[in-house]
Amino acid sequence: MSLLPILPPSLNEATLQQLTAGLTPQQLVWLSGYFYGQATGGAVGAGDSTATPAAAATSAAPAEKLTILYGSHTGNGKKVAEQAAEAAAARGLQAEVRDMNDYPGRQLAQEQNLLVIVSTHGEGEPPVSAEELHQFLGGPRAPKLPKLKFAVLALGDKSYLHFCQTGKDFDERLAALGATRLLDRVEADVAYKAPATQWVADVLAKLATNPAVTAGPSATAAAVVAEPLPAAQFSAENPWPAKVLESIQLNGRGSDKETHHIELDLTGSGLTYAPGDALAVRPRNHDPLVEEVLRAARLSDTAPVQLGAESLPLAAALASRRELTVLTRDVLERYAALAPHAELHGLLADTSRLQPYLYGRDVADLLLDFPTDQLTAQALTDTLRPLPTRAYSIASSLLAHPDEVHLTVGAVRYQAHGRQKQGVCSSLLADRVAVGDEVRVFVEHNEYFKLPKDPAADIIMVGAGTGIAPFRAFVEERAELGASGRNWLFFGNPHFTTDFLYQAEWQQHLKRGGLARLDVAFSRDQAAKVYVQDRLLERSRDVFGWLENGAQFYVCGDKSRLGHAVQSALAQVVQKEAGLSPEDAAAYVKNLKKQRRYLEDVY
Amino acid sequence: MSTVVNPKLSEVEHVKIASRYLRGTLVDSLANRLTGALNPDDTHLIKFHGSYQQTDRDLDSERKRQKLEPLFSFMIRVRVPGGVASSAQWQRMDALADAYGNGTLKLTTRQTFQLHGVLKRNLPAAIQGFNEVQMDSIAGCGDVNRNVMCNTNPHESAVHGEVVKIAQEISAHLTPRTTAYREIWLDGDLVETTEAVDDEPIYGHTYLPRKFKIALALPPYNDSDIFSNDIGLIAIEENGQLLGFNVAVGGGLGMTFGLPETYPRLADLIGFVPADKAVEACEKIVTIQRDWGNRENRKLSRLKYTIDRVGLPAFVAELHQRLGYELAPTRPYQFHSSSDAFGWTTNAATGQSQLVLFVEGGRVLDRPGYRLKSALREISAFHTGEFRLTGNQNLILANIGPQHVARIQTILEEAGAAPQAEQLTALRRGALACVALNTCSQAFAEAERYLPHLLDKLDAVIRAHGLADAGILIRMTGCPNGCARPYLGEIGLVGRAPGRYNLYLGADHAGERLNKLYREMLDEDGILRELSPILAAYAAGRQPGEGFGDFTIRTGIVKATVRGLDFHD
Repeated sequence: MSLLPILPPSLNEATLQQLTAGLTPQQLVWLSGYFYGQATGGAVGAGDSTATPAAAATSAAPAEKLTILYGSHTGNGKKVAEQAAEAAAARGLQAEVRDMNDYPGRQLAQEQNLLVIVSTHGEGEPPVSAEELHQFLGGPRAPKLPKLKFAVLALGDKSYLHFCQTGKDFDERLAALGATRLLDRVEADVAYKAPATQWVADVLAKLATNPAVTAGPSATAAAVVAEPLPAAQFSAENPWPAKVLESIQLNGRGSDKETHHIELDLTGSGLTYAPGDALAVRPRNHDPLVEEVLRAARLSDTAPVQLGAESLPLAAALASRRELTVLTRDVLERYAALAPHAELHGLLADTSRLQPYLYGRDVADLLLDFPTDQLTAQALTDTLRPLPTRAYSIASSLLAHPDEVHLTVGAVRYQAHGRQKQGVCSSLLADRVAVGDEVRVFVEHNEYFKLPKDPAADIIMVGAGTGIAPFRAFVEERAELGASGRNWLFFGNPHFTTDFLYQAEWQQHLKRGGLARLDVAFSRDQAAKVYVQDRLLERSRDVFGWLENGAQFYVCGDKSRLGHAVQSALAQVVQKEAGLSPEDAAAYVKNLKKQRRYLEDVY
Repeated sequence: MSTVVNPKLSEVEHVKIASRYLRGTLVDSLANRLTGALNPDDTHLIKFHGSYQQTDRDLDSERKRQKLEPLFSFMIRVRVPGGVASSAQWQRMDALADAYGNGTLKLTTRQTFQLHGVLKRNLPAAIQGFNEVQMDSIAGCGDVNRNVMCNTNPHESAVHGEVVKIAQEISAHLTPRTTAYREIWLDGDLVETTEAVDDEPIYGHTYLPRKFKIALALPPYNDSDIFSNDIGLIAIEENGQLLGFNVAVGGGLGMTFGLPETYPRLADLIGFVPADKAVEACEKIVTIQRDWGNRENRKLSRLKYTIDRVGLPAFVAELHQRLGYELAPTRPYQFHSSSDAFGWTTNAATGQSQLVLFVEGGRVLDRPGYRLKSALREISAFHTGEFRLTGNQNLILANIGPQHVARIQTILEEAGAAPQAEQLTALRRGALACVALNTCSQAFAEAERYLPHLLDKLDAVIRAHGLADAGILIRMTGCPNGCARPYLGEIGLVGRAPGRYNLYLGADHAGERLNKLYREMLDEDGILRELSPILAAYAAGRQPGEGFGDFTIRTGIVKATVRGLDFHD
């Protein structure tokens, strides 16, 4: 058996079989619990001084956890789950009933005894509430579950072709991840009540004879202590190739917006971050744009160019080392030296004309507008700016998503000067990397845009569009920490039905207390446009009360449109609620900034 | 009312008890900007106000992945007692469908208008919109008496107008009296009340155990399918005078797969009431069901189960007791058809014309080459008669002045929506389908969106056997609840799973005999494979005037269903 760890020669599989021959399954389970207790108790005894005495003393360990997880469309699954929990309680077993719909898959690793009740729909599909967990279990992020004991009750309808397929999937996946069956899977037809009742009785009987449940070692003592990783130095020059784990378009159908949620794998990188930090991404220009520039420059893609000590073909240099999507003054100045067009010099001399020219134009536009015979591959390379990295406010908490970093990326696309343009990095993330591909990243720490040190402090967060990103990280982090401070989010975007980014997550946070309040402004859903700053004013009394109570205030989003509007709205709030003059109210807000209680991440 | 609450009452009963006459927390639900849904308890209560919360099921999985809640929207069912709407009412519904709905109007099997896809924030504006033209949605759904049906063709009998009037009186009498509807939807600003101030003399504060349906019919036409209702009233006419009604009780078509104790059932005739006593008889029947109906298990709470539980004689005795008199013996009558007679007719006496217009699936819409919705909007601008909704999801332009006949015909022709029923097979003309996917939360399978495609294939078989004019009733629903009355179809198709249907055969043509399960879980190939030989045999072996359903019984293809309790035998 390939699953066996390497054992001393005296304990080979044949010996084990000889020793255990004739034992009943219950006895074998008991023995496995016994050795498991030995193993974990031993580890604790071996000198981990931080372990609690309760965890070390196996006999006094708390009873193991029993979780009953259901996923069904009709409510039948829920009924069975509740029935099982009641029956367990009658036997003195504490059970927690959870709906798959809001059960995070990674929590499976913490489970000890798991009963799964799941129905199958249509042609072998999971019910909507089970989809996410079903997918998670079948995916690359599913954890190994060597400590888990489980049983599956599959609900279905025999007249369907793929009877109980989802139950089968759960059963097989859990086993494949190393979990142990308490019972063979039971598949129940439309008349499910009798088999379900029988299953509950059988599985509880099994648990009662399982020593681990009543007097087993505490599995918390066996929690794997993460090995400290070397603090890696990843940077623009040496980015970490992060695998894309997930890429989701967050806007519903019919939206004018296009926002992508990207999940990246940091496993093995040693990269860490705190909520408020940014992730820098090293982009690569889109090939058609490189070709466009080459054509406009009338240069060969293979012409060699020198970048420092490095020699590479022009196309490669343009693709990954030079900025092509954005024009800046310095580029125009260097280019003007090569291409002595009067008009170009005129633009450079007149700032009021220069900005409008630069807006929406890229390197290909410049080359087409002002062609020159003087251009060599090397001269073009030297004229253009190095391709900078793009930084995105991180949208996740490491506590909530270990070894992952999530981004909320708005795809930049526009038509300008006769060509379709796109943001170099947002389009890379939106269009050109798929799950499994790698993106080169490193962390940019943001010293100030941080959660309050005091977990009891309240926070008010104001975000519009992708400005929601750091607040997702904030709320996740505080929920994981169990911080007692209240969290209040203001969010704005054009339309409720399509642009309420992370809506389902916010609803869960509200339900569980991770968010105390949430106010939303959807600007285009009514005749008069409504923005987050309007909501701040509507809630002025409570906003001011929170501030006076020491709340920290955060703003994230577009600098010109959101930053100023929120600041002036907040001054109005203060003016109204504190009865101050406009000047004093402005000073109050300024003072908040000075105290670093008004923090901005605007771009 | 006793304040002791039976702990075994169903969840919905508890919601009703706590609702303060249907208010619940609807005002809070509407004000909540964070979700397109209502508070869970309010989803039960809003039905009494005529609306169902639904999601676009085509998008459920996609939106879940996008971390968005389901795309919640609301269906609003607007009552049209007796199915009679004015041009102004039609115009308004047409405009509301565009402003707040999905751009289409659904004409239902119970003679109502349905708006689909109305977002929560637009509900008050939509309801105010039809309120302005004297229409409402209160009791459109919920555990109360729903829209009262009546067959629609005013030219079929001189007493038709009188029968419609009685339908409207019954509807008005049984409309809930709570002022919650007005407060929540029409007045906007609410005075906070903690105490229920309303009085419901007929329903009481917990209303009925389940939905309640009443329909009237004037023989020989039964297009309102009266036997599928909790109360069916058959108008009895003598020498141009309306004498009264035969009363039938205990019809209802819904059932639940896997629960054989649930079954469709046709109403039993229990006697005759004079016309001026019809409203009173309906009220007393409603109160018996209010008091005797099962409030613990909603699957067994319709009047049909109450009657089968206590026995029909006990039920009738109680009714006589509550009326203070006995019903007279049932009068003879005869139904011939439950179909609509399409096309133009003119009433010689009045000179007015009418057009019975086929509306596939009851869906009034515009699509390329077929602009029915636009054409009807144009007609509603000058038509001085009525828009009458039939129980078969079709539309009658009634009482058309002679000066408008040619104009209406031209408008419909130019829109590609001219009466073309004669080019269609009778099978298609009589077909019924419920809404099903993508908005109905009950649906297991497609119905309205799919039936036309299935009919394309069945039509080929039908035509090949020379049955294009044989009026075979086909009805499809996405679930077993029976909205399109599938158990009264000579061919009934009831959705079990995506693309899979149970096939029922053997109903009669006048809505007087239920059908019987013939095959389960058929896909499209299976449906065609099973039906083709039976249709061939019918074409070759039918007796003169013999309907398809009668043929399948006579030749032993299925057993006749004599009463609801035998449906599963």
